[in-house]
Amino acid sequence: MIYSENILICIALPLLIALLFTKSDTRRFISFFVTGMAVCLLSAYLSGFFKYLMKIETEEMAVFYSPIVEEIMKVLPLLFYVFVFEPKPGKLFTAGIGMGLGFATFENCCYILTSGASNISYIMVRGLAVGVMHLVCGLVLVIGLNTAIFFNVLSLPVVVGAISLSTVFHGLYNLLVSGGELSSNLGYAFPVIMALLLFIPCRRLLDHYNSTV
Amino acid sequence: MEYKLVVGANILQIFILIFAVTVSILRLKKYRNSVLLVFFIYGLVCWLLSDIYWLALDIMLPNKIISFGVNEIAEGGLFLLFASITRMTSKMIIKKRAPLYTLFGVCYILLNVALWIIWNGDILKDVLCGLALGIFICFVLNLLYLTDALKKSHMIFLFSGSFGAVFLQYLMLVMPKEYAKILDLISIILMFANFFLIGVLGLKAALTAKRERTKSESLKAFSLSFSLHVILSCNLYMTAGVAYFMNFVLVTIIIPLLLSSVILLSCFEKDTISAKNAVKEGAV
Repeated sequence: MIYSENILICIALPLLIALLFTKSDTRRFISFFVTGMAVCLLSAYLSGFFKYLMKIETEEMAVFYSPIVEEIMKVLPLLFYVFVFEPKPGKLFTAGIGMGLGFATFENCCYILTSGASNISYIMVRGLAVGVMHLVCGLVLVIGLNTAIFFNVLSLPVVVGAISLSTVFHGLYNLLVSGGELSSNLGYAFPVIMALLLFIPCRRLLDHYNSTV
Repeated sequence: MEYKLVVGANILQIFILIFAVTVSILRLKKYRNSVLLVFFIYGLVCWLLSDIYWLALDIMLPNKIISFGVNEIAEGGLFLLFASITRMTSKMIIKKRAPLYTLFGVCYILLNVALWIIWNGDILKDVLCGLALGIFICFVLNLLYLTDALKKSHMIFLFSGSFGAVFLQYLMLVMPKEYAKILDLISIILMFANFFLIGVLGLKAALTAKRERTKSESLKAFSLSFSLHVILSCNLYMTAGVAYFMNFVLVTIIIPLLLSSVILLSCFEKDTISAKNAVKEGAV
Protein backbone atom coordinates (compact mmCIF):
# COMPACT_ATOMS: atom_id res chain seq x y z
CA MET A 1 0.00 0.00 0.00
CA ILE A 2 1.23 3.50 -0.82
CA TYR A 3 0.05 6.80 0.61
CA SER A 4 -0.73 8.62 -2.65
CA GLU A 5 -2.09 11.72 -0.87
CA ASN A 6 1.26 12.13 0.91
CA ILE A 7 3.15 11.74 -2.38
CA LEU A 8 0.96 14.43 -3.91
CA ILE A 9 1.63 16.81 -1.00
CA CYS A 10 5.37 16.13 -1.22
CA ILE A 11 5.59 16.90 -4.95
CA ALA A 12 3.03 19.69 -5.05
CA LEU A 13 4.24 21.84 -2.14
CA PRO A 14 7.51 23.12 -3.68
CA LEU A 15 5.71 23.67 -6.97
CA LEU A 16 3.01 25.72 -5.26
CA ILE A 17 5.64 27.85 -3.51
CA ALA A 18 7.41 28.26 -6.86
CA LEU A 19 4.21 29.93 -8.14
CA LEU A 20 5.08 32.99 -6.03
CA PHE A 21 8.26 33.54 -8.01
CA THR A 22 6.99 32.89 -11.52
CA LYS A 23 4.87 34.73 -14.06
CA SER A 24 2.68 34.22 -17.15
CA ASP A 25 3.33 30.97 -19.07
CA THR A 26 5.58 29.39 -16.42
CA ARG A 27 3.02 30.09 -13.69
CA ARG A 28 0.25 28.70 -15.90
CA PHE A 29 2.28 25.57 -16.60
CA ILE A 30 3.07 24.93 -12.93
CA SER A 31 -0.54 25.54 -11.85
CA PHE A 32 -1.87 23.04 -14.36
CA PHE A 33 0.92 20.57 -13.58
CA VAL A 34 -0.20 20.52 -9.94
CA THR A 35 -3.87 20.41 -11.01
CA GLY A 36 -3.05 17.44 -13.26
CA MET A 37 -1.57 15.56 -10.29
CA ALA A 38 -4.61 16.33 -8.13
CA VAL A 39 -6.91 15.24 -10.97
CA CYS A 40 -5.00 11.95 -11.20
CA LEU A 41 -5.64 11.27 -7.51
CA LEU A 42 -9.32 12.20 -7.78
CA SER A 43 -9.71 10.01 -10.88
CA ALA A 44 -8.25 7.07 -8.94
CA TYR A 45 -10.81 7.66 -6.15
CA LEU A 46 -13.64 7.85 -8.67
CA SER A 47 -12.49 4.77 -10.59
CA GLY A 48 -12.40 2.86 -7.30
CA PHE A 49 -15.90 4.05 -6.51
CA PHE A 50 -17.25 3.00 -9.93
CA LYS A 51 -15.47 -0.37 -9.67
CA TYR A 52 -17.33 -0.99 -6.42
CA LEU A 53 -20.60 0.31 -7.87
CA MET A 54 -20.42 -1.76 -11.07
CA LYS A 55 -19.01 -4.83 -9.30
CA ILE A 56 -16.24 -5.43 -11.85
CA GLU A 57 -12.61 -6.58 -11.70
CA THR A 58 -9.75 -4.07 -11.30
CA GLU A 59 -8.28 -4.95 -14.72
CA GLU A 60 -11.61 -4.54 -16.49
CA MET A 61 -12.08 -1.18 -14.82
CA ALA A 62 -8.56 -0.05 -15.79
CA VAL A 63 -8.84 -1.16 -19.43
CA PHE A 64 -12.42 -0.23 -20.32
CA TYR A 65 -13.78 2.41 -17.94
CA SER A 66 -10.86 4.36 -16.42
CA PRO A 67 -10.17 6.25 -19.68
CA ILE A 68 -13.72 7.65 -19.55
CA VAL A 69 -13.36 8.81 -15.92
CA GLU A 70 -9.84 10.20 -16.39
CA GLU A 71 -10.53 12.17 -19.56
CA ILE A 72 -13.73 13.71 -18.16
CA MET A 73 -11.83 14.68 -15.01
CA LYS A 74 -8.99 16.18 -17.09
CA VAL A 75 -11.28 18.40 -19.12
CA LEU A 76 -13.09 19.92 -16.11
CA PRO A 77 -10.22 22.20 -14.91
CA LEU A 78 -9.53 23.19 -18.52
CA LEU A 79 -13.20 24.15 -18.98
CA PHE A 80 -13.11 26.11 -15.73
CA TYR A 81 -10.06 27.97 -17.02
CA VAL A 82 -11.71 28.63 -20.39
CA PHE A 83 -15.01 29.92 -18.99
CA VAL A 84 -13.69 31.88 -16.00
CA PHE A 85 -10.41 33.35 -17.31
CA GLU A 86 -11.31 33.43 -21.05
CA PRO A 87 -7.73 32.81 -22.25
CA LYS A 88 -6.54 33.58 -25.77
CA PRO A 89 -6.43 30.43 -27.96
CA GLY A 90 -2.64 29.95 -27.80
CA LYS A 91 -2.50 30.17 -23.99
CA LEU A 92 -4.58 27.02 -23.54
CA PHE A 93 -1.78 24.90 -25.02
CA THR A 94 0.45 25.50 -21.99
CA ALA A 95 -2.46 24.59 -19.69
CA GLY A 96 -3.27 21.36 -21.54
CA ILE A 97 0.35 20.23 -21.72
CA GLY A 98 0.83 21.00 -18.00
CA MET A 99 -2.32 19.07 -17.14
CA GLY A 100 -1.31 15.99 -19.15
CA LEU A 101 2.25 15.97 -17.82
CA GLY A 102 1.16 16.47 -14.20
CA PHE A 103 -1.27 13.57 -14.52
CA ALA A 104 1.37 11.32 -16.10
CA THR A 105 4.06 12.26 -13.57
CA PHE A 106 1.91 11.53 -10.54
CA GLU A 107 0.64 8.25 -12.01
CA ASN A 108 4.22 7.19 -12.79
CA CYS A 109 5.41 8.11 -9.29
CA CYS A 110 2.70 5.97 -7.70
CA TYR A 111 3.30 3.02 -10.03
CA ILE A 112 7.07 3.13 -9.51
CA LEU A 113 6.63 3.23 -5.73
CA THR A 114 4.34 0.21 -5.96
CA SER A 115 6.33 -1.93 -8.43
CA GLY A 116 9.89 -0.65 -7.95
CA ALA A 117 12.26 1.01 -10.42
CA SER A 118 14.80 -1.76 -10.99
CA ASN A 119 13.51 -2.92 -14.40
CA ILE A 120 14.68 -0.44 -17.05
CA SER A 121 12.30 -1.72 -19.77
CA TYR A 122 9.34 -1.17 -17.42
CA ILE A 123 10.62 2.33 -16.67
CA MET A 124 10.92 3.06 -20.41
CA VAL A 125 7.35 1.88 -20.97
CA ARG A 126 6.06 4.05 -18.12
CA GLY A 127 7.98 7.06 -19.38
CA LEU A 128 7.63 6.83 -23.14
CA ALA A 129 4.26 5.13 -23.47
CA VAL A 130 2.04 6.11 -20.54
CA GLY A 131 3.67 9.50 -20.02
CA VAL A 132 3.42 10.48 -23.67
CA MET A 133 -0.12 9.07 -23.88
CA HIS A 134 -1.38 11.50 -21.23
CA LEU A 135 0.46 14.34 -22.97
CA VAL A 136 -1.20 13.47 -26.29
CA CYS A 137 -4.63 13.22 -24.60
CA GLY A 138 -4.11 16.71 -23.14
CA LEU A 139 -3.06 18.01 -26.55
CA VAL A 140 -6.10 16.48 -28.24
CA LEU A 141 -8.42 18.13 -25.70
CA VAL A 142 -6.67 21.47 -26.07
CA ILE A 143 -6.69 21.45 -29.88
CA GLY A 144 -10.46 20.92 -29.81
CA LEU A 145 -11.14 23.62 -27.24
CA ASN A 146 -8.67 26.04 -28.84
CA THR A 147 -10.24 25.67 -32.26
CA ALA A 148 -13.70 26.24 -30.80
CA ILE A 149 -12.52 29.39 -28.96
CA PHE A 150 -10.70 30.66 -32.03
CA PHE A 151 -13.74 30.33 -34.27
CA ASN A 152 -16.11 31.44 -31.49
CA VAL A 153 -18.11 28.20 -31.63
CA LEU A 154 -17.47 26.82 -28.15
CA SER A 155 -20.52 24.75 -27.24
CA LEU A 156 -21.43 21.55 -25.39
CA PRO A 157 -21.32 19.33 -28.51
CA VAL A 158 -17.81 20.55 -29.34
CA VAL A 159 -16.59 19.97 -25.78
CA VAL A 160 -18.10 16.46 -25.69
CA GLY A 161 -16.58 15.80 -29.11
CA ALA A 162 -13.14 16.77 -27.79
CA ILE A 163 -13.56 14.58 -24.69
CA SER A 164 -14.69 11.63 -26.79
CA LEU A 165 -11.65 11.91 -29.05
CA SER A 166 -9.19 11.91 -26.15
CA THR A 167 -11.17 9.12 -24.43
CA VAL A 168 -11.10 6.82 -27.44
CA PHE A 169 -7.37 7.44 -27.87
CA HIS A 170 -6.74 6.64 -24.19
CA GLY A 171 -9.06 3.60 -24.34
CA LEU A 172 -7.37 2.26 -27.46
CA TYR A 173 -3.95 2.51 -25.79
CA ASN A 174 -5.21 0.69 -22.68
CA LEU A 175 -6.85 -2.02 -24.77
CA LEU A 176 -3.75 -2.62 -26.91
CA VAL A 177 -1.34 -2.85 -23.95
CA SER A 178 -3.67 -5.25 -22.12
CA GLY A 179 -3.32 -7.87 -24.90
CA GLY A 180 -0.49 -10.17 -26.06
CA GLU A 181 3.06 -9.23 -27.03
CA LEU A 182 2.28 -7.91 -30.51
CA SER A 183 -0.64 -5.73 -29.44
CA SER A 184 1.29 -4.50 -26.36
CA ASN A 185 4.22 -3.40 -28.51
CA LEU A 186 1.79 -1.68 -30.89
CA GLY A 187 0.19 0.00 -27.90
CA TYR A 188 3.53 1.23 -26.51
CA ALA A 189 4.45 2.71 -29.90
CA PHE A 190 1.00 4.29 -30.41
CA PRO A 191 1.43 7.42 -28.18
CA VAL A 192 4.87 8.23 -29.58
CA ILE A 193 3.57 7.93 -33.15
CA MET A 194 0.62 10.18 -32.30
CA ALA A 195 2.93 12.71 -30.63
CA LEU A 196 5.10 12.80 -33.77
CA LEU A 197 1.99 13.16 -35.97
CA LEU A 198 0.70 16.01 -33.80
CA PHE A 199 4.03 17.85 -33.67
CA ILE A 200 3.76 19.78 -36.96
CA PRO A 201 0.00 20.59 -36.73
CA CYS A 202 0.46 21.87 -33.15
CA ARG A 203 3.40 24.12 -34.11
CA ARG A 204 1.45 25.47 -37.07
CA LEU A 205 -1.69 26.02 -35.00
CA LEU A 206 0.29 27.92 -32.37
CA ASP A 207 1.94 30.10 -35.05
CA HIS A 208 -1.47 30.65 -36.64
CA TYR A 209 -3.06 31.74 -33.35
CA ASN A 210 -0.11 33.96 -32.47
CA SER A 211 -0.18 35.68 -35.86
CA THR A 212 -3.98 36.14 -35.89
CA VAL A 213 -4.75 37.08 -32.27
CA MET B 1 -18.28 -16.02 -42.66
CA GLU B 2 -20.48 -13.16 -41.46
CA TYR B 3 -17.87 -12.23 -38.83
CA LYS B 4 -15.13 -12.10 -41.47
CA LEU B 5 -17.33 -9.95 -43.72
CA VAL B 6 -17.98 -7.41 -40.94
CA VAL B 7 -14.28 -7.27 -40.01
CA GLY B 8 -13.43 -6.82 -43.71
CA ALA B 9 -15.99 -4.03 -44.03
CA ASN B 10 -14.55 -2.40 -40.91
CA ILE B 11 -11.03 -2.48 -42.35
CA LEU B 12 -12.34 -0.98 -45.62
CA GLN B 13 -14.06 1.78 -43.63
CA ILE B 14 -10.79 2.49 -41.76
CA PHE B 15 -8.91 2.91 -45.06
CA ILE B 16 -11.59 5.18 -46.52
CA LEU B 17 -11.59 7.27 -43.33
CA ILE B 18 -7.78 7.61 -43.48
CA PHE B 19 -8.15 8.76 -47.09
CA ALA B 20 -10.88 11.26 -46.14
CA VAL B 21 -8.84 12.65 -43.23
CA THR B 22 -5.78 13.07 -45.50
CA VAL B 23 -7.77 14.84 -48.24
CA SER B 24 -9.44 17.12 -45.66
CA ILE B 25 -6.09 18.07 -44.12
CA LEU B 26 -4.68 18.84 -47.58
CA ARG B 27 -7.78 20.97 -48.33
CA LEU B 28 -7.33 22.79 -45.03
CA LYS B 29 -4.12 24.26 -46.45
CA LYS B 30 -6.23 26.02 -49.10
CA TYR B 31 -9.11 27.09 -46.84
CA ARG B 32 -7.15 27.85 -43.68
CA ASN B 33 -9.99 29.51 -41.79
CA SER B 34 -12.62 26.89 -42.57
CA VAL B 35 -14.24 25.97 -39.26
CA LEU B 36 -16.42 23.37 -41.04
CA LEU B 37 -13.40 21.55 -42.38
CA VAL B 38 -11.59 21.65 -39.02
CA PHE B 39 -14.51 20.11 -37.11
CA PHE B 40 -15.19 17.68 -39.94
CA ILE B 41 -11.60 16.42 -39.61
CA TYR B 42 -12.11 16.17 -35.84
CA GLY B 43 -15.28 14.12 -36.38
CA LEU B 44 -13.59 11.85 -38.92
CA VAL B 45 -10.65 11.18 -36.59
CA CYS B 46 -13.16 10.34 -33.84
CA TRP B 47 -14.88 7.91 -36.22
CA LEU B 48 -11.53 6.42 -37.30
CA LEU B 49 -10.32 5.82 -33.73
CA SER B 50 -13.70 4.35 -32.81
CA ASP B 51 -13.43 1.91 -35.74
CA ILE B 52 -9.86 0.96 -34.80
CA TYR B 53 -10.96 0.42 -31.18
CA TRP B 54 -13.88 -1.76 -32.27
CA LEU B 55 -11.60 -3.79 -34.58
CA ALA B 56 -8.96 -4.24 -31.86
CA LEU B 57 -11.61 -5.29 -29.34
CA ASP B 58 -13.17 -7.69 -31.82
CA ILE B 59 -9.84 -9.35 -32.63
CA MET B 60 -8.42 -9.40 -29.09
CA LEU B 61 -11.55 -10.21 -27.09
CA PRO B 62 -14.19 -11.54 -29.53
CA ASN B 63 -16.61 -12.72 -26.83
CA LYS B 64 -16.27 -9.72 -24.54
CA ILE B 65 -19.44 -7.71 -23.92
CA ILE B 66 -18.91 -4.25 -22.41
CA SER B 67 -21.91 -2.41 -21.01
CA PHE B 68 -20.59 1.01 -22.02
CA GLY B 69 -17.48 1.07 -24.15
CA VAL B 70 -15.13 3.80 -25.25
CA ASN B 71 -16.20 3.32 -28.88
CA GLU B 72 -19.76 4.25 -27.92
CA ILE B 73 -18.47 7.50 -26.45
CA ALA B 74 -16.57 8.13 -29.68
CA GLU B 75 -19.73 7.43 -31.68
CA GLY B 76 -21.63 9.93 -29.53
CA GLY B 77 -18.79 12.42 -29.99
CA LEU B 78 -18.93 11.93 -33.75
CA PHE B 79 -22.67 12.67 -33.81
CA LEU B 80 -22.19 15.76 -31.67
CA LEU B 81 -19.29 17.06 -33.77
CA PHE B 82 -21.30 16.53 -36.96
CA ALA B 83 -24.26 18.20 -35.24
CA SER B 84 -22.05 21.22 -34.50
CA ILE B 85 -21.02 21.41 -38.17
CA THR B 86 -24.69 21.25 -39.20
CA ARG B 87 -25.57 23.98 -36.71
CA MET B 88 -22.73 26.20 -37.96
CA THR B 89 -23.98 25.69 -41.50
CA SER B 90 -27.57 26.60 -40.59
CA LYS B 91 -26.20 29.89 -39.23
CA MET B 92 -25.04 30.68 -42.79
CA ILE B 93 -28.70 30.97 -43.85
CA ILE B 94 -30.87 33.89 -42.81
CA LYS B 95 -34.26 32.24 -42.44
CA LYS B 96 -36.61 31.31 -39.62
CA ARG B 97 -36.15 27.91 -38.02
CA ALA B 98 -38.69 25.10 -38.20
CA PRO B 99 -39.93 24.03 -34.73
CA LEU B 100 -42.24 21.38 -36.24
CA TYR B 101 -39.31 19.59 -37.85
CA THR B 102 -37.45 19.62 -34.54
CA LEU B 103 -40.53 18.12 -32.88
CA PHE B 104 -40.56 15.33 -35.47
CA GLY B 105 -36.87 14.71 -34.75
CA VAL B 106 -37.45 14.54 -30.99
CA CYS B 107 -40.41 12.14 -31.39
CA TYR B 108 -38.45 9.93 -33.77
CA ILE B 109 -35.42 9.60 -31.48
CA LEU B 110 -37.59 9.00 -28.41
CA LEU B 111 -39.33 6.13 -30.21
CA ASN B 112 -35.95 4.76 -31.29
CA VAL B 113 -34.39 4.95 -27.82
CA ALA B 114 -37.40 3.20 -26.27
CA LEU B 115 -37.02 0.44 -28.86
CA TRP B 116 -33.29 0.02 -28.15
CA ILE B 117 -33.98 -0.19 -24.41
CA ILE B 118 -36.63 -2.87 -25.01
CA TRP B 119 -34.14 -4.82 -27.13
CA ASN B 120 -31.05 -4.79 -24.91
CA GLY B 121 -32.09 -3.18 -21.61
CA ASP B 122 -28.97 -1.02 -21.37
CA ILE B 123 -30.63 2.24 -20.32
CA LEU B 124 -27.56 4.47 -19.72
CA LYS B 125 -25.84 3.54 -22.98
CA ASP B 126 -29.01 3.86 -25.06
CA VAL B 127 -30.07 7.17 -23.53
CA LEU B 128 -26.62 8.77 -24.01
CA CYS B 129 -26.23 7.51 -27.59
CA GLY B 130 -29.83 8.51 -28.32
CA LEU B 131 -29.26 11.99 -26.93
CA ALA B 132 -26.26 12.58 -29.19
CA LEU B 133 -28.00 11.14 -32.24
CA GLY B 134 -31.17 13.10 -31.37
CA ILE B 135 -29.30 16.41 -31.35
CA PHE B 136 -27.77 15.51 -34.72
CA ILE B 137 -31.18 14.54 -36.17
CA CYS B 138 -32.82 17.79 -35.02
CA PHE B 139 -30.05 19.96 -36.50
CA VAL B 140 -30.08 18.03 -39.77
CA LEU B 141 -33.88 18.30 -40.10
CA ASN B 142 -33.66 22.01 -39.40
CA LEU B 143 -30.98 22.38 -42.08
CA LEU B 144 -33.06 20.37 -44.57
CA TYR B 145 -35.87 22.88 -44.04
CA LEU B 146 -33.61 25.92 -44.24
CA THR B 147 -31.92 24.84 -47.47
CA ASP B 148 -35.16 23.71 -49.17
CA ALA B 149 -33.26 20.59 -50.19
CA LEU B 150 -36.39 18.43 -50.22
CA LYS B 151 -39.78 19.02 -51.78
CA LYS B 152 -42.84 18.64 -49.59
CA SER B 153 -43.67 15.26 -51.16
CA HIS B 154 -40.11 14.02 -50.51
CA MET B 155 -40.33 15.20 -46.92
CA ILE B 156 -43.64 13.36 -46.40
CA PHE B 157 -42.07 10.21 -47.92
CA LEU B 158 -39.04 10.54 -45.62
CA PHE B 159 -41.09 11.05 -42.47
CA SER B 160 -43.62 8.31 -43.24
CA GLY B 161 -40.82 5.89 -44.18
CA SER B 162 -38.84 6.59 -41.01
CA PHE B 163 -41.79 6.48 -38.64
CA GLY B 164 -43.29 3.51 -40.53
CA ALA B 165 -40.10 1.47 -40.09
CA VAL B 166 -40.01 2.18 -36.34
CA PHE B 167 -43.73 1.43 -36.01
CA LEU B 168 -43.25 -1.95 -37.73
CA GLN B 169 -40.40 -2.77 -35.36
CA TYR B 170 -42.76 -2.09 -32.44
CA LEU B 171 -45.43 -4.24 -34.07
CA MET B 172 -42.93 -7.09 -34.35
CA LEU B 173 -42.68 -7.19 -30.56
CA VAL B 174 -46.31 -8.22 -30.18
CA MET B 175 -46.85 -10.26 -33.37
CA PRO B 176 -46.26 -14.03 -33.73
CA LYS B 177 -42.89 -15.07 -35.23
CA GLU B 178 -44.17 -15.90 -38.75
CA TYR B 179 -45.63 -12.38 -39.13
CA ALA B 180 -42.64 -10.75 -37.44
CA LYS B 181 -40.33 -11.87 -40.27
CA ILE B 182 -42.55 -10.23 -42.90
CA LEU B 183 -42.85 -7.05 -40.84
CA ASP B 184 -39.06 -6.95 -40.42
CA LEU B 185 -38.62 -7.29 -44.19
CA ILE B 186 -41.09 -4.44 -44.88
CA SER B 187 -39.36 -2.30 -42.24
CA ILE B 188 -35.96 -2.91 -43.88
CA ILE B 189 -37.42 -2.06 -47.32
CA LEU B 190 -38.75 1.24 -45.90
CA MET B 191 -35.32 2.05 -44.43
CA PHE B 192 -33.57 1.39 -47.73
CA ALA B 193 -36.25 3.30 -49.68
CA ASN B 194 -35.46 6.35 -47.55
CA PHE B 195 -31.76 5.85 -48.15
CA PHE B 196 -32.19 5.62 -51.91
CA LEU B 197 -34.44 8.70 -52.09
CA ILE B 198 -32.03 10.90 -50.14
CA GLY B 199 -29.01 9.21 -51.73
CA VAL B 200 -30.13 9.96 -55.29
CA LEU B 201 -31.09 13.54 -54.43
CA GLY B 202 -27.84 14.05 -52.51
CA LEU B 203 -25.69 12.74 -55.34
CA LYS B 204 -27.59 14.90 -57.84
CA ALA B 205 -27.16 17.99 -55.62
CA ALA B 206 -23.45 17.28 -55.14
CA LEU B 207 -22.89 16.96 -58.90
CA THR B 208 -24.88 20.17 -59.57
CA ALA B 209 -22.95 22.00 -56.85
CA LYS B 210 -19.65 20.84 -58.33
CA ARG B 211 -20.71 22.00 -61.81
CA GLU B 212 -22.34 25.31 -60.91
CA ARG B 213 -20.30 26.20 -57.81
CA THR B 214 -23.17 28.07 -56.19
CA LYS B 215 -23.72 28.48 -52.47
CA SER B 216 -27.35 27.31 -52.50
CA GLU B 217 -26.53 24.06 -54.33
CA SER B 218 -23.57 23.42 -52.02
CA LEU B 219 -25.84 23.92 -49.01
CA LYS B 220 -28.36 21.46 -50.47
CA ALA B 221 -25.64 18.88 -51.13
CA PHE B 222 -24.33 19.35 -47.59
CA SER B 223 -27.71 18.96 -45.92
CA LEU B 224 -28.64 15.92 -48.01
CA SER B 225 -25.34 14.12 -47.47
CA PHE B 226 -25.53 14.65 -43.70
CA SER B 227 -29.17 13.47 -43.77
CA LEU B 228 -27.93 10.30 -45.44
CA HIS B 229 -25.50 9.80 -42.59
CA VAL B 230 -28.31 10.26 -40.06
CA ILE B 231 -30.59 7.79 -41.88
CA LEU B 232 -27.88 5.14 -42.11
CA SER B 233 -26.89 5.60 -38.45
CA CYS B 234 -30.50 5.04 -37.37
CA ASN B 235 -30.77 2.05 -39.72
CA LEU B 236 -27.58 0.56 -38.26
CA TYR B 237 -29.06 0.66 -34.76
CA MET B 238 -32.30 -0.94 -35.96
CA THR B 239 -30.96 -3.82 -38.05
CA ALA B 240 -29.04 -7.06 -37.57
CA GLY B 241 -27.35 -9.68 -39.77
CA VAL B 242 -27.27 -9.04 -43.52
CA ALA B 243 -29.22 -5.75 -43.33
CA TYR B 244 -26.73 -4.44 -40.73
CA PHE B 245 -23.82 -5.42 -42.96
CA MET B 246 -25.41 -3.67 -45.96
CA ASN B 247 -25.99 -0.50 -43.92
CA PHE B 248 -22.41 -0.64 -42.68
CA VAL B 249 -21.11 -0.81 -46.26
CA LEU B 250 -23.41 2.04 -47.30
CA VAL B 251 -22.13 4.24 -44.45
CA THR B 252 -18.62 3.59 -45.76
CA ILE B 253 -19.65 4.47 -49.31
CA ILE B 254 -21.15 7.82 -48.31
CA ILE B 255 -17.94 9.07 -46.62
CA PRO B 256 -16.59 10.53 -49.91
CA LEU B 257 -19.99 12.22 -50.44
CA LEU B 258 -19.78 13.82 -46.97
CA LEU B 259 -16.22 14.90 -47.70
CA SER B 260 -17.04 16.46 -51.06
CA SER B 261 -20.06 18.31 -49.66
CA VAL B 262 -18.00 19.80 -46.81
CA ILE B 263 -15.23 20.83 -49.22
CA LEU B 264 -17.74 22.40 -51.63
CA LEU B 265 -19.33 24.39 -48.82
CA SER B 266 -16.06 25.50 -47.26
CA CYS B 267 -15.41 27.57 -50.45
CA PHE B 268 -18.33 29.84 -49.43
CA GLU B 269 -17.53 30.06 -45.72
CA LYS B 270 -15.22 33.04 -46.15
CA ASP B 271 -17.93 35.03 -47.98
CA THR B 272 -20.41 34.35 -45.17
CA ILE B 273 -17.95 35.39 -42.46
CA SER B 274 -17.07 38.62 -44.33
CA ALA B 275 -20.77 39.38 -44.90
CA LYS B 276 -21.55 38.77 -41.22
CA ASN B 277 -18.72 41.07 -40.15
CA ALA B 278 -19.96 43.73 -42.56
CA VAL B 279 -23.46 43.50 -41.06
CA LYS B 280 -21.99 43.76 -37.55
CA GLU B 281 -20.00 46.85 -38.52
CA GLY B 282 -23.11 48.46 -40.03
CA ALA B 283 -21.81 48.52 -43.58
CA VAL B 284 -24.94 46.90 -45.01
